[in-house]
Amino acid sequence: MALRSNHEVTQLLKAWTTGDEHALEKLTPLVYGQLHQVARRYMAGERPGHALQTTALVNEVYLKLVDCRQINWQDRAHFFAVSAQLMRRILIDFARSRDYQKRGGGAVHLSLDDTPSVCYEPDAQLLAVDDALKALAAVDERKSKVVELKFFGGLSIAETAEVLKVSTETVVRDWRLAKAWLLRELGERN
Amino acid sequence: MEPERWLQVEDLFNRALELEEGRRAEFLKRACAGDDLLRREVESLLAHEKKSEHFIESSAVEVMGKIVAREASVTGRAPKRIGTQVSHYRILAQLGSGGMGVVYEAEDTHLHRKVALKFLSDLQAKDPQALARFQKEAQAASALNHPNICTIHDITEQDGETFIAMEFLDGATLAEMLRRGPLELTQLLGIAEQVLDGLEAAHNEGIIHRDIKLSNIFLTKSGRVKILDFGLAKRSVSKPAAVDIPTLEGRLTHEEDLSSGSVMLGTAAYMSPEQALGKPLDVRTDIFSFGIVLYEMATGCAPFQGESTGMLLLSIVKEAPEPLREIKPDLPEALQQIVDKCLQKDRNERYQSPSEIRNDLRQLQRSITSEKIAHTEVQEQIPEASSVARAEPGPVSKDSSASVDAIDTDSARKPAGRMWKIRIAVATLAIGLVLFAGLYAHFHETYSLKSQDTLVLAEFTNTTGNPVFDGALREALTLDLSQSPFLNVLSQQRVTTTLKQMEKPADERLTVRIAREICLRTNSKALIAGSIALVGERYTLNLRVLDCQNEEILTSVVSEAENRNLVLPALHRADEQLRRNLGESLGSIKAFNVPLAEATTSSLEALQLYSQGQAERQVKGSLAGIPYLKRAIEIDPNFGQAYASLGSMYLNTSQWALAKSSYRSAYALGNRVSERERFYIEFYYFQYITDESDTSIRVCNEWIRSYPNDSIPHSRLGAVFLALGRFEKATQEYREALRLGTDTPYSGAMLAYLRLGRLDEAKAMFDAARSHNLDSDFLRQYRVTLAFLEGDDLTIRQQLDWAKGKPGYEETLLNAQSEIEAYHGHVVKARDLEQRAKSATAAASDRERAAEFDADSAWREAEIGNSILSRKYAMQALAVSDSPAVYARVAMASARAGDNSTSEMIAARLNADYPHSVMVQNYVLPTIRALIAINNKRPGQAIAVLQPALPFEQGELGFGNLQPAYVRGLAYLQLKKGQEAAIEFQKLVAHPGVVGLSVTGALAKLQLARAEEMSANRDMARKHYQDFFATWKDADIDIPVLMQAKDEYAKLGYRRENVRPLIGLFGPSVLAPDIG
Repeated sequence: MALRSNHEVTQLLKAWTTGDEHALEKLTPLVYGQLHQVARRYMAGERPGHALQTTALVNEVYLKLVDCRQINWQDRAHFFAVSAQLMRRILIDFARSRDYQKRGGGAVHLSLDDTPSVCYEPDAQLLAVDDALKALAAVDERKSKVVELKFFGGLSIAETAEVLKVSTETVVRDWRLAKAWLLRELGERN
Repeated sequence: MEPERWLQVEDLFNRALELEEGRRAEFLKRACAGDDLLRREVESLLAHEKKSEHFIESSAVEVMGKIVAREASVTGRAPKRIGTQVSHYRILAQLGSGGMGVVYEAEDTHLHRKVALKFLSDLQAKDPQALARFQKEAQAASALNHPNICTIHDITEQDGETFIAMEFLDGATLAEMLRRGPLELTQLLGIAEQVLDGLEAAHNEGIIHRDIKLSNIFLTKSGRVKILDFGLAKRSVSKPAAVDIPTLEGRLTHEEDLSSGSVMLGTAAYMSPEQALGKPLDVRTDIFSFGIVLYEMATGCAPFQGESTGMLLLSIVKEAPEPLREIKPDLPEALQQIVDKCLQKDRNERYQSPSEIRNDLRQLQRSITSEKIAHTEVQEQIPEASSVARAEPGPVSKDSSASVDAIDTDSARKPAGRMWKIRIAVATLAIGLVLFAGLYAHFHETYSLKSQDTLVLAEFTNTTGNPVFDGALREALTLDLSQSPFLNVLSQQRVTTTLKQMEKPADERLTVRIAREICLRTNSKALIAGSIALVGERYTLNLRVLDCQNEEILTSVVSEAENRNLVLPALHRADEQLRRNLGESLGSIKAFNVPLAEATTSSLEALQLYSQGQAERQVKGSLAGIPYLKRAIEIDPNFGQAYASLGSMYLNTSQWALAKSSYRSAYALGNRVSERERFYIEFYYFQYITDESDTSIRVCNEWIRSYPNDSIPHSRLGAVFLALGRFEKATQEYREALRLGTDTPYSGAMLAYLRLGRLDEAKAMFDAARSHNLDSDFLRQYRVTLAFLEGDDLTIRQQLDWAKGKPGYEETLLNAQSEIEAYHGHVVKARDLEQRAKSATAAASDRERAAEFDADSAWREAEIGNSILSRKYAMQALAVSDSPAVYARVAMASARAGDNSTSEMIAARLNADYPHSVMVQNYVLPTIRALIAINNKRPGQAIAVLQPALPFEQGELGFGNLQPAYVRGLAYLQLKKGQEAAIEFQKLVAHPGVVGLSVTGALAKLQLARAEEMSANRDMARKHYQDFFATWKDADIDIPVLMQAKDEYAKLGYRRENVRPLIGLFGPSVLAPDIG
């Protein structure tokens, strides 16, 4: 990574935090990289939660983007919020494209052997969570944000609290209720 | 829901959760006070809360990754080692994986202790050098027994797999720790001291680590530092081991250096300057790398950075890092001095051993401690004294600021190019490729297929309703049948050009009707019409071979599949039967019949994407095909042919680094492809990735033996010979390829004739290509070169006009025009045109190509004496591209401009990356080294190092051909040997076809004049001076080399006023150099 002037970093952060396409372009390969890393880990039968993997992806992205000497904690919170949003978009697009592929490129007809023998359709599940989350946002914006940051952004409770400027206890409570609400919503939809 | 209502729900939910489960119902009943709806709402949420313990607790990335993994494991990839036992180790879990291999946690069942097992990655296990390094790691490290070096227990081989058993460590590497930011000073000092202890132990045994970096330093939970990965370690020459070290296989005794002269090893960011320059290493290289580690621990930042490997290495070689205390002002001055001394460019100025650093660090530690005490005391006595005293300056000498040439970092943006040979490669590839090449059916009575009979494949008729079969089945059939040396499938390229003649779009669906018309137009014999239908729950495949003339069915095969996943195997069975029916011998079918699932892919989706990618490439060019191939590989990471095809698409779009890694992957999957695909992949790997002509020639010859009617290996051979400067052989191969007719390497053939000065034949190749409706930027570029050689300005202008606004063509011809202007000394115009060429590439986002143009500019400016401008262009090119084409140009340009160290650095990279490349080793490197020797005023040495270039100096670099002769001439001039110099420069003057548009063609005339003057042939000298002045008759006046030439011409005592009129006398006849 090249040294960047202060000005450039500010510009970059601005572009990033407004969530423009440039930011999306930068983040997409990183998210995909992370995805494949996780996949490889599972394929190798590695135990989950290994120490190497616990750093949140966005944290690394942040460090990669802004030169290590100019971390500004307020920017960082904003940055995390936008990153989580972008990651949600990327992952949902990814799941949707796979779902689409499975259905044979959106063809109407599904022949029998196209239907997988597994009854559980995780891609679809992820898409359903996304939908339910939109519904939750209508009821309680902050709780939907908590889910977005934690589940899609991969942030910890403490980081989520930092971004939303609330206490960790609040995040814990929000998280608990949001999960129950979403699970119920998903049950109703199925 | 009303907001107030929701707040109520939330409140009750939270309060209920604080109660024991049994008491919640009662609480709610009371709290809701008869509002049953409210109560039911909260109760239902509570009920779901109970089930939600694991719900979305893993992050979405984790969930998605798991899904991807599950699918991948269903398709059956990736070795499963977890849970298995190797030797007496039971593998428990994977700990991590890195460049070299995979590390598992395991239990030693004999000693009942935990160990870490390190296996080579699949990719590396195939590479004998990596394997040797792996074994060396074990040997080197097992020789060391020190608490700060990770202990090696054992090295074992089982079932052909070698693995190392080592100490199991619990903790994290420094790289992981630093993700949280820089370290505290006291922690840093503690870690540094232990690293130094470990290093000292290694150095005392005469072992250099050579890859000291954050990720190779491990901190256990108990706080112990362990140095990892002695994979690159090497016995120091300067410090032989005092004792005979016990080794596991007794091999350490004949210590061969596995890295020297082969690959450049180590991690670029941590290399010492001598490592970057490819010099022999001693223990002090570890001192430098340790300095980088220290710097990073203190600041969290890397001291040397660069947008490309080249720039990074340049920064290591030349730049002083930003002082520690400018990043973190509260660091002690003494630490900065210690780090600076570690990071000295000249290793004699560094610390000479780890113990020296340790002494200084200890002193620093003491001063901090005493200061702390003092500070505490002061504070206790006078609370308001708040200024913190600095730590005393340490004992380090002060003169440690490295003096370095400043680097023009502004110009570090633009990308750069492709290898000289790639230009030819792409040229010979024309447009389409390669898979479907000439195979000729053996004569067979039943179906009267003759050896020149060709088959056309129609698209499958798909009535299953599942679009996944569209495209995929035809692609599968094509790939499958192309294995056969007997069948001859019409190439996709011919299909596309024929469609063009029929005024159909290139992606026209090949219905039986269209396929028949193509069949008739191309004089093919038959077409294969396939169909797939869903009958009940089974798929039925049908292949019919139809005679194009009368649509008579020659043969027909039916095959069935029980489900979707069995369709490809069913198709493969049908293909096999078809080959038999068409008269191929059983022996041949047996020899060339790898099932699709193994040879190519078992995934219909991947195949479909592959096919779409090929189609896009035909219609819109390589850039458009890339995304499809990438997705195909995502679906099937073992799809070797897709990597190869992706590689050639990258190559065609000058994305050198990506092409390289794609071909590497393709090559690594070499046992998973069909025979013909293997030839194809191996050829590209050896010709364009490792650049080993001998091997690529061998591959072509084997290819020809297996597929004698295939023209592709012949046109590849043509390209190889062309690159080596063996033009006659090149034309022979090209002619053979054109005779066999399944490939159309017109532009390659044209270039070979140009080089030979056989301009009529070159023109004939151009016309033939055009009459077949074939075109490429290379073809056009060679047409311009031809016109230049003939002095045919009109054609040049016509070609330029034609190219205007045509992406791909425009920049190539602008570049050619720029070269022509430079040839005539119109430097300002040349720069402007090169700039326009660059802008045109920006439109096509072809950064590599733009970098190549910059490198061309750097070389041109160096030749005409503008060294500052040359340097600027060189840095621009280097910032973007690691391609050998750019490296070679920039290295020559830098040396020519007097910048020896940049040139040396790049030469070291080229040497390390292309140890077996004929042209790099015998042409490029000798030329660079000779130029450096000339700069150092050692012409005799220059001539000696150019010796190996003699047989190859006509070789095709894509720029600066005949450079070794030119440089040899320069060396003779420096030696004041005029006659010898004249012979060299005469080579360029006499072979304008080889020199082409290069400005050295013009400058050779000037040099020739100087050489003749030196040997007192005054008339000849005068004639050549005038030749040169005539070529540059209206050149820009301020070109350094021209001003110099005028000066010396004036001093020679010819009457000065003669100069200008004489130039006029020569005029255009001299502009067209004589054709050799």
